[in-house]
Amino acid sequence: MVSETVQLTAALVVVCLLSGLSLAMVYDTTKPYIDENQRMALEIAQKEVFPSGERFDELADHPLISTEKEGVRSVYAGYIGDAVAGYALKVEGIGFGGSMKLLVGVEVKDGKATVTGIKVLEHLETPGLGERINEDFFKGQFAGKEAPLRTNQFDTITGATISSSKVVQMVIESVNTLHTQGGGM
Amino acid sequence: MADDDSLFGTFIRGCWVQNPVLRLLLGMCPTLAVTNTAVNGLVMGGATLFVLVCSAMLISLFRRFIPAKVRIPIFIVVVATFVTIADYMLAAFIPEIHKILGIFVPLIVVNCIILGRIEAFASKNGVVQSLADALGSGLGFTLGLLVLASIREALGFGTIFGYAVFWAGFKPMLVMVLPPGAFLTLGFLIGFMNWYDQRQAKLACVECGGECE
Amino acid sequence: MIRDLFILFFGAAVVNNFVLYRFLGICPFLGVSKKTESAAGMGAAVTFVMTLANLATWLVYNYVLEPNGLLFLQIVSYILIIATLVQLIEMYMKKYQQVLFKAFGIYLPLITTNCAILGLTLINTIDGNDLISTVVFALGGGAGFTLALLIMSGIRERLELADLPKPLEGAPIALITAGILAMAFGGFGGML
Repeated sequence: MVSETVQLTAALVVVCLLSGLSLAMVYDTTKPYIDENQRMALEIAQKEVFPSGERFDELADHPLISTEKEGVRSVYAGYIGDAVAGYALKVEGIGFGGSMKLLVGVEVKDGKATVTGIKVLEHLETPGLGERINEDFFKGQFAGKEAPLRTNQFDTITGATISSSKVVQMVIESVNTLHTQGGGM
Repeated sequence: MADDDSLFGTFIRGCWVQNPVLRLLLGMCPTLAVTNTAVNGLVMGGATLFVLVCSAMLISLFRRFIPAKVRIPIFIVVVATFVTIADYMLAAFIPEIHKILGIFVPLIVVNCIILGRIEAFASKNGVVQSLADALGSGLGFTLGLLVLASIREALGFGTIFGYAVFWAGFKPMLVMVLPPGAFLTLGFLIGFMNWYDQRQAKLACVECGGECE
Repeated sequence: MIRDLFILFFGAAVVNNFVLYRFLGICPFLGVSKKTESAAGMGAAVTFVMTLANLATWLVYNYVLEPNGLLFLQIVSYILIIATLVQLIEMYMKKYQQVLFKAFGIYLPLITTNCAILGLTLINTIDGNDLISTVVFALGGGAGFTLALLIMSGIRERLELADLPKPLEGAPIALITAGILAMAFGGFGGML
């Protein structure tokens, strides 16, 4: 005669086990697709911010990479031929609505670092307002500017001050740090 | 017709008479949050429908084996499992929309419509009936989302599903796709439906010459 | 440090208010905001559960799920934690804290399906808050929820006595009021 508590617990445990198993299966099945989506999206973004780069390699131990809440998360070296011509930096920061991720393309030549483009990868900004940081008129102003960058070189967006100034700050900090470190490797 | 126990009656009840969004006011959070464009509303409704139908059928199938005392935690685990599955499938096959829907996909698990229908119907009825009930409520929910989303997208961006629906000089009202617009649109929509119902009731009264309020 | 915590609290409570900006916790917001006492009770209960739930899920995420690659169990485990927590709190209060239980005990079962709680825990994980920030974030979220609820109940109590067009009575006018309230809170947008 099995007590009621044991029966109830058994039912719960069985359900949880089945749930865990099916989720593990679904996870394994969908993971390749999710990873591929992310890989493709990253490739498109890298090409967009650093158009002359032919291929990109992730530099896992680059000194710029930070584990703080905000900062450079990943460094991708962009190659033309066999030489490193520049970098794509994935920078994370907290915008108005939450966490924001940018990809900043920088060309490094003769000790000079020039921004080639930026792209907003992820954001939680307000649709129609803060979201406008992804529009060409705002993103376009970064290309061609040489390090060291200054805040007064860039315009922010009316009605989206916090979102846009945050983007400007993230770009300036990451590019200037890259510049002072002599382009890293 | 609403009391019809037939499959079709069950289905229609979920869609119209007891439409979860517009009449029962259930599932409010996703309703207000993801209806800024029609596409988002459609995908959200679809995902919720998927979770509702799968959970309802599974629980209905095993209803005789689920001990009453722990039924709520078991329902929750089942629903949460299907929600996770829906989340991963969206991330794998429609990543752009998955990104936009964000945390509202996991939040399907606390959508009162799902637990409500399972507790009220699927845990006590056969699989086929539960399917009809789940489809009805799920489609009703999706329909409600679509109506709300279309209005908001049209007034807020000037498009529906990305297709322009207004004349070229139309200046959209951005507020419609922001939080206030959600509340206002739904409020007026329900107000309109109330007005319609009350008018029908009055007309019906006049017809049979009876006395109403 | 204190300044950051204050910004976090104020952000969660006012600027990114959980109800009026993030659209979380709408069901109780519409359902329990008719009278100020029930609004206060619900607000207190939600803040309490939010803080404990945020702590519990933070622990589980950082010490169980992430190190073991079990991220796919996030949704199931979070909601189970919340449901269990609410159950335990209810049992504990009924036995040992009858005064508190009388104040907000009846709202506890409703909280399990409150999307604000699950939403808060998920957002907290995404933002990657540390332990102290987790607690502050939850307190801010709960405070904001209570604030919205109290303002709403104050207005609705007055609306009961007003002369409204019949179709707008009940849910419609509550929603329209919420819309205007959301517009007001939207004004906090530039503050931080």
